[in-house]
Amino acid sequence: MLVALILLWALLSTMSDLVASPAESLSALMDRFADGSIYRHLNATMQAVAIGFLIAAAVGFPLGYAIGRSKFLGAVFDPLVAGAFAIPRVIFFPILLQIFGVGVGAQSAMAALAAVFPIMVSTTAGVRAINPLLPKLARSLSLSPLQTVTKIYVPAMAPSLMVGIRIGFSIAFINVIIAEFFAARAGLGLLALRAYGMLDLPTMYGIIVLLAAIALIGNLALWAVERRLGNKQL
Amino acid sequence: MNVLTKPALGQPKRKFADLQRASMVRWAIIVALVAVLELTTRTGMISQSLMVPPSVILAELASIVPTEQFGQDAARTLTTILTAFSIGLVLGVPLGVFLWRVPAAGRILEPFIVTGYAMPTLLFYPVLLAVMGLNAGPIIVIAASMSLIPIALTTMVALNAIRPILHKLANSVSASPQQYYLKVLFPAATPLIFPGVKLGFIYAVIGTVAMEFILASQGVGFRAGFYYRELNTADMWAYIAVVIVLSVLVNSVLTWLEKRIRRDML
Repeated sequence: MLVALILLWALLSTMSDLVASPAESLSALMDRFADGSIYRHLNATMQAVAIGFLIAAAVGFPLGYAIGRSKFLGAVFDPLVAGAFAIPRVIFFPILLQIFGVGVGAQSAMAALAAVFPIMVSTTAGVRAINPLLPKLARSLSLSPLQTVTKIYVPAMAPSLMVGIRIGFSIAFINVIIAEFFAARAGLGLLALRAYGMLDLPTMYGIIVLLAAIALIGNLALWAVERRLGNKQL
Repeated sequence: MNVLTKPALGQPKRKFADLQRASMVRWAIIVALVAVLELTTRTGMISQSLMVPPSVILAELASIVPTEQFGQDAARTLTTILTAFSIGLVLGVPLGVFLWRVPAAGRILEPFIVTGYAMPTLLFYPVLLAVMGLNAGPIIVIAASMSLIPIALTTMVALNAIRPILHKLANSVSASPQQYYLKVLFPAATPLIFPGVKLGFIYAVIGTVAMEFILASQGVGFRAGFYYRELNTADMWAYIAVVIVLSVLVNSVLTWLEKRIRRDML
């Protein structure tokens, strides 16, 4: 499949001037690595994704858990969360730019804002899908609230927590890139769009391949963990 | 997302009262939020260069909506969304059927589709810009690819979830392939496919507005970014409000439709 994609790319590049060939793009990318100019951008992007994702997880998991546990909170917040989920959250990026200034702060905030809703949604769904026997078990063993959460809920919800982590990671990643396309000091998205502006197409294709590779590998790794957890459950 | 969750059963009457109370609290939260924003921006606790009071946004909206420019932007955004969604639907459903008919293909493609669910197809926006130029084309391609994936995935899941007896029934009345698809599979799968279609439409909206926001020549999302760069906070907020209203509206209409379609689900 991957080989087929690369062949298709090579074929397209022979037909159109607007598509740089795979070899050219990779060597342009390698040049960037060789002269070290890419590390600053790579660093900025990964930092923003990591910070944003951690904030989203720190906020999203407890909130999603609370909404899932309580029927009343669920009835109040479900439509709000669904509505917020439907809004293209990038549209709030200008405001974040004004608050945080152009830089990693704004990118991280964007990632956090975007990733928090999917994480909440999947956590809520996970709490609701828990076998009702398990909370009863916890009560009959007279576990403390903390023990109930760490020993019963978290293990039982592990698969859906992983879904939240995977989707949250992807969304955080995408939104950092979009935010960098729009305005940034450093970052791979900025670099790609700058290359487009300068019609340096090989570099642009190279960076996009790098981004796609990061996203694909991160996703596949998390997906593999998710499937293993899912198998253990059954 | 939660395609297969069943609604909890409870005493209908109490449940109704609870729901009413919940929706009252929900509206109270929204109203309070707007009031707090109005108050903090009016008193200057939040600088007006950052956020203008909601009442000003409303006034700004009233002056923007009748203009020709707004008409053009809105028309451009809506046609882009609808085109992208139609493409997603027209390609996504057959793709789902194909994945269901040929399980081997499903297994090979699954990692790509699952990662594609969240995979930034929009990473390729600069590529499409380079190839297709700065017009609605690249946006349609990306928004369509984003909306296609949930539709294809739920179509596959829905067809797999059809009760085997329906296949036997179709066989025993010797239905033609056409009848089999149109009269048996399609009606049986629709309630299960619909959440995917809903998600597909929402993704089409998100994809369109987000792409317009990054780089475009026209459209509601573009205008919000444009006014940011012009430091025109009031107009920027007005367009952000347009986007919020549009997406919440789309979500409510689809949720309502979903309830109606799923009500007569088997």
